[in-house]
Amino acid sequence: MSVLKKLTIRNLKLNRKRTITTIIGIMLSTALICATFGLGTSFQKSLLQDAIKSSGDYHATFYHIPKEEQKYITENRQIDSYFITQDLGYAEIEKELPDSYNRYWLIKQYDEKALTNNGVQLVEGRLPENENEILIQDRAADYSNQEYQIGDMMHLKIGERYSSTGEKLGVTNPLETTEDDEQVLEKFVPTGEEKEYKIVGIMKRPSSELEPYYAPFLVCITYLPEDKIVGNADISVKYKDVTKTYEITEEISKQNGEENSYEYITNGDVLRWSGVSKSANIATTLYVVVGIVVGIIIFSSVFVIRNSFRIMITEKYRQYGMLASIGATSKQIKRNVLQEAFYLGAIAIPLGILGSLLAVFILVLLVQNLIGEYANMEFTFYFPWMAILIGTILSIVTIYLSSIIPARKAAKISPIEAIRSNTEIKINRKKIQAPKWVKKLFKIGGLISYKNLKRSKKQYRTTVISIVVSIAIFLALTSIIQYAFGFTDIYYYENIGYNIVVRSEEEENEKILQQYNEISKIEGIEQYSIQKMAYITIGKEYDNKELAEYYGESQSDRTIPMIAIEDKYYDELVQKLGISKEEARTGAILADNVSYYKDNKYTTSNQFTIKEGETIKCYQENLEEREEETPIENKKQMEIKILKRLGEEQTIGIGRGTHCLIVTEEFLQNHMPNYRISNMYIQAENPDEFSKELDTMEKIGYTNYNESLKETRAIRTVIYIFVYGFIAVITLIGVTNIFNTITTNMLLRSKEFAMLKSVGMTAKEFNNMIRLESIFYGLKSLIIGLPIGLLLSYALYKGFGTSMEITYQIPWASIGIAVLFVFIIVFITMKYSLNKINKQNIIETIRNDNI
Amino acid sequence: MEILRVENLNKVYGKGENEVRAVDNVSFQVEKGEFVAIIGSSGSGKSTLLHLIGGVDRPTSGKVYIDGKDIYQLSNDNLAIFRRRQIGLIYQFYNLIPILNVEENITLPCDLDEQKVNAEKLQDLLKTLGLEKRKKHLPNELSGGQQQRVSIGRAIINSPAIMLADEPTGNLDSKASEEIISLLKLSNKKYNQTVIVITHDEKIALEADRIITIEDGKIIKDERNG
Repeated sequence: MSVLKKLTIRNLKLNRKRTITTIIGIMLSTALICATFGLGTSFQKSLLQDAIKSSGDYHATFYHIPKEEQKYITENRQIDSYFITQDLGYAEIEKELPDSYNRYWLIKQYDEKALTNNGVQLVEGRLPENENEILIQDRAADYSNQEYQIGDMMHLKIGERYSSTGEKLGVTNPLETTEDDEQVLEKFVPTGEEKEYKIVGIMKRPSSELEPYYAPFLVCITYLPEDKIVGNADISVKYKDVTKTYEITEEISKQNGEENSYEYITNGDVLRWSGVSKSANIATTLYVVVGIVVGIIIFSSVFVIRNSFRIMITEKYRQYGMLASIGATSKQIKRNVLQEAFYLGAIAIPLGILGSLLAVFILVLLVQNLIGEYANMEFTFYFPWMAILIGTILSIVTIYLSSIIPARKAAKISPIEAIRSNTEIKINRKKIQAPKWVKKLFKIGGLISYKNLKRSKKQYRTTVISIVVSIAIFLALTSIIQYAFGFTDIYYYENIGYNIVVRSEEEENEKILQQYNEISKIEGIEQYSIQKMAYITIGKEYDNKELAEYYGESQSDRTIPMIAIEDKYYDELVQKLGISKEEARTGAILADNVSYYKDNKYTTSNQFTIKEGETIKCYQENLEEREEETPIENKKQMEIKILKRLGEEQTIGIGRGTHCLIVTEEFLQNHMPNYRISNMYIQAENPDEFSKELDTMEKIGYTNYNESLKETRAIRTVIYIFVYGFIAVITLIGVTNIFNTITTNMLLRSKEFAMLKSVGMTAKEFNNMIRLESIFYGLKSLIIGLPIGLLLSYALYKGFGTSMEITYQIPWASIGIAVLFVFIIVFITMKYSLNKINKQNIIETIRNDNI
Repeated sequence: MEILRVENLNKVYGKGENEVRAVDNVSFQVEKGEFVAIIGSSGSGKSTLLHLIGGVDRPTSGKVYIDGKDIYQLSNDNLAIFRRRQIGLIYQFYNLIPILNVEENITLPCDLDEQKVNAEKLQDLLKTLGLEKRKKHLPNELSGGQQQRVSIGRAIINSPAIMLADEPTGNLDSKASEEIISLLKLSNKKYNQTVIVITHDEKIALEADRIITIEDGKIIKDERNG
């Protein structure tokens, strides 16, 4: 080992703290880049797996391929694998299902490979193994009250669907009915073929490509032996090169000429998550987001690494001069610097990669545990080869670039210049001129701090930029959270006063009340309210024309419920609305807010053009039969005073977003004697336990809103983890930067400090000077960082604002946190170096540097 | 009038076998207006002695009285304040603050003390030092001799009780050295300034009223020039 090499290693060991901070800087940067790409990979692959699971492992499907032409597809060189399915035909569902829309079976035949690769998700039982066995959907089993079960036989008469005009109907045709949905027009024509199947398994509902949501049939799947493949089979293929899917599919479909082209579809979900798309879509959005994030990371990382190296070389300036003076060539010095970079990289990059792998692994696990269940998919950790490669290359390039420049500079040092003084700090009189007020206001200490800031502009710029990046990212991301949750909160069920809504299936009020009374005795109820209601119709004169235009006449239903809630909750509500209890009993509160999408924007409006305080005319409806036919003039007319309009206020007993009139129980009983008891709203201590209790009761139904609440919370937690994790790491990089710059700067100036002390600066004055410097420093970062952050947050607001009517709010809390944080970090770092300097002996410091 | 009294001053570095007595039981007095040269070979302890007198280092034992005040009885902060008012230090390598210009460097002790700078006095001083035209320059724009003149200006601005110079010409050519010496002499005569200079330059020593010779931390000779 050469002397120079030994020197490098010894140097790294001696400057342990500097070495460690540099290693941490490189490590964080590498880890962050790898982790970002790694997470992207894991999520993309998980989503792809999920897409494959639910829609099948293929890229495209060609329909109705005649037997003799099949080999032109299956033997195409571009194709990796294929499977074949066939539609045997429809059959009428013999047992009556509650949902009368679904009236057919669609019998599909799958070959061996199709059964495992075409997205069949088995719930129970097994796959069919011969052509007499069949799989049905869980819906069919559930709808029929388990009348279709594994082991049952189905006897089916195969046939086709024909429209009233005699055309054959296919998979994509909805049920043909009369305008009012009363009568079915399409005809089922049996082909004469009859089949006997044994149900061997139950599967989940197939993807919407096989069974559209409007389909009047339920798909069931049977086995297709190879020798039974006839004409008109559907061939699904997987290409060797997924990126060429669109071109190859087009090419294959037209191999018989333009007019004889095959019908085909592409597997959108799978292609999307494979990163193949015809137009901009989620995958591209994901890549753009990852790209921006990585961009920010690379930007801050380059700064950290560059800064560390510059500092390290500045510190060893004299040493390089010494080496040069005893005959080291500039080549040797350059190599020496690069070698140091190499050692640091060799330690830091693998550590960073390991760290990132661990982080990604934990994050994926966390996401799986938190939202896997709700999202109904499996998040799996995939080893991110690409991410590691990219991270390593980027780090190496950054390290090389950030060391080659100082290395060149070090190589150019003239020995005597380096030994005698610090040429790193070249001072220009003009550049460090300070305005008179600085000295007047901050005394000589302030003047020195101010001038020093101007002197080491480059170093400070680096640090200021890294603080600025942290501040800006923090502000922007916290705004995203604010806006994103700001409007999800409107739709989710947080703090609405109830978490379970019970509906009775009884008809008579007394019986319902009896049931509800029984429920109210179950333990664990925090509060409950029994809703009473009747229907009224509001006069046409209060119609909101604009809204009617938007929804179409038929949608603007003027019949709304009048809902009574218990006095206790009613009084709470009117208090929130600012009406006295007495006044509140003279009329009703109107809830009719509407949020609708118009001109690319969510707008809020009201269903009725009623003013607060107005007395309106309305008509009583008969609850038993809301006869549309009864002309409105014949209905009983009444007058109601509208006291206030309900805004965002919530109360137990009123469903969120329900359009209604809210009144007291007394008011309802007086005005609408034919009211009925409706739902029971319950705030349960433990909603899930409570639901189990309800399960044991008969003739009731219920909704547990806690599920949706838990889901929102889980998603929110995941987002918080990611966003704050990202902020934390970016900030950590920033802190490393700040620490590096400030400590070095202070050490370089220790001789100056000793000087100031020797001419009589007291410790207190000295500390004040440094404090002032920190303030200048923090202020500068904030002056640049805050506006950029605010601008970003405003841009995001604009982005969200296009789809939502929200007012821009300056994120004061975040600004406060940012300001506090910046000053704390700067002060702590300054304090750290101050302690170091204050420990030094004046004379030794002055002398040391002179030798 | 006695301006400086050193009593049984000791400075010991290290312990046991490695013990070095840089200043070994030194006692002497200096009268106001004296120009004293302390000479001795390298490592004789003369610089340590000077720093102890200047209050920038602390002795192992012994006392230093400046203008009747026992300076090592003072707290660190009070000592710092005492330094800027009563002691002017001049170093071999000038040790100016690189970001402050000539004028600012000279007035630094006043500024630290938050005293008003007497403009006339400053003007006179700059003229005496020959830096009138360079008062806005930064140290790195000056020659070595000019920088040392700035540091003399800084040492003298507050009319300290004593001015201490540690090898003030050690880094200068002979012409600049002569200038510095004559400036020190001038301040001694013009302002009746007490000056203590450490040197191993015979020529400077001969300019002094009194020469103290130090060897191994002890005064071995103390003589007055004719």
